[in-house]
Amino acid sequence: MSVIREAAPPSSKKWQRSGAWRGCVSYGRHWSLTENLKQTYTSAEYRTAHPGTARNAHALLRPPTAGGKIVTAPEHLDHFCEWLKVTPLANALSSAEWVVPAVQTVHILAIGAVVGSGLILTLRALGLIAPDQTLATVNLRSLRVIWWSLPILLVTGLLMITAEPARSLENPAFALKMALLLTSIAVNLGYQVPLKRNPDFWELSAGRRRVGRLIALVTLGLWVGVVFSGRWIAYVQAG
Amino acid sequence: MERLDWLLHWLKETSFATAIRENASLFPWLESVHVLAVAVVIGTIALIELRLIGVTSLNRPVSRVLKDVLPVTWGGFGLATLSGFLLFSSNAPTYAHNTFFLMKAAMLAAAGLNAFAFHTFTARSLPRWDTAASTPVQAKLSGVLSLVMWVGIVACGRWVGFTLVPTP
Repeated sequence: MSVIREAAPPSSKKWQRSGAWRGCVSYGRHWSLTENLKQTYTSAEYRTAHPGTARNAHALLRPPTAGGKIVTAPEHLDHFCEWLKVTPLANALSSAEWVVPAVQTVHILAIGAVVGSGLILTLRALGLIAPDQTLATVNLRSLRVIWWSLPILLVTGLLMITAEPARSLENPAFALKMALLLTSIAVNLGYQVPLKRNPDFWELSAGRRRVGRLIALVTLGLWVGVVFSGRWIAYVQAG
Repeated sequence: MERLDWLLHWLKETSFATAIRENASLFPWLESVHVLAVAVVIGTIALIELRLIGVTSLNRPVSRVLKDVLPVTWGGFGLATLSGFLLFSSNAPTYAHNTFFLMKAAMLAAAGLNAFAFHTFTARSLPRWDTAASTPVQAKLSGVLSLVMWVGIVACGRWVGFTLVPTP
């Protein structure tokens, strides 16, 4: 259960923790060695120093929920995040600056495998490409790629959560991403289970072909949603 | 150099760049499209390169894989370029001064050259090894280079988001 309360003016600590901060100019969490990067700004200092210069400083300065309200997480989730944040693994992950972007890179590559194969499968189901290959062959190959990508996505996702628990676990965009992901897996299973008995299941009649195409399109749409809500985690303020 | 800076600032002050910079949600929307498009590019180009290297789709002619997959890759690339340009425009001088952005641009150019070299030189002998599971060494090299470049492009792209310094 989420509680909505009036937002206090953001403290510098909060800005650094929030995804919006991380997704934008990461003062205090940075890579290069330029002098001014070593400073940590409070939001007010930041505003004075760089009026409108960051690529989306406005997103930084304006909470995404209207009327100065933010959604806060339930207390036990807060406790869990605080606990997870100080575990040895979390410390190890956040001690080196390169870990989070590196894990994100692997995560995006695995997303690419899912989206690429899903798109090829959908285009074949629609009869737009690969007429020399049966749908059964393309199904088998693409679904294998998709299933093998999921454990990579799970592991890299868990690493990102461990590095910064509140950034995702207390974030509505993350909740939406998980809902879309679970729906997509369920729909995918609904498509795949009948294929176990008969690889041509979705081609046996015109009606089934239509349903098969619809399922492929819906799954692809769900993955587009997963990608979009995934990127929005960095912009929707957590906790 | 001065002229380039002028151009970058001009780009930043165009109406669309200003809108992307000042609107709270335009940038994340465009970035979402950009990530999706890049995912399509990397997910589909890998299918081509793995055939060229000789790992997957070995029972299919190389030309068939190219014909089916390459248009999808190009579609993704077009969308990624357009969304990427719009993201860049919103703060052109800042991105132009970012090391990782420059590395990403260099790797994109290298990937482009690699693809051009494949289509103009290596693919000339394609009819001879089109259906062979084992491809010539130039084709394998081209596939490996492309995969390395694209992994590097994704990594640099992610690093840009962590290393921006506003430039005046």
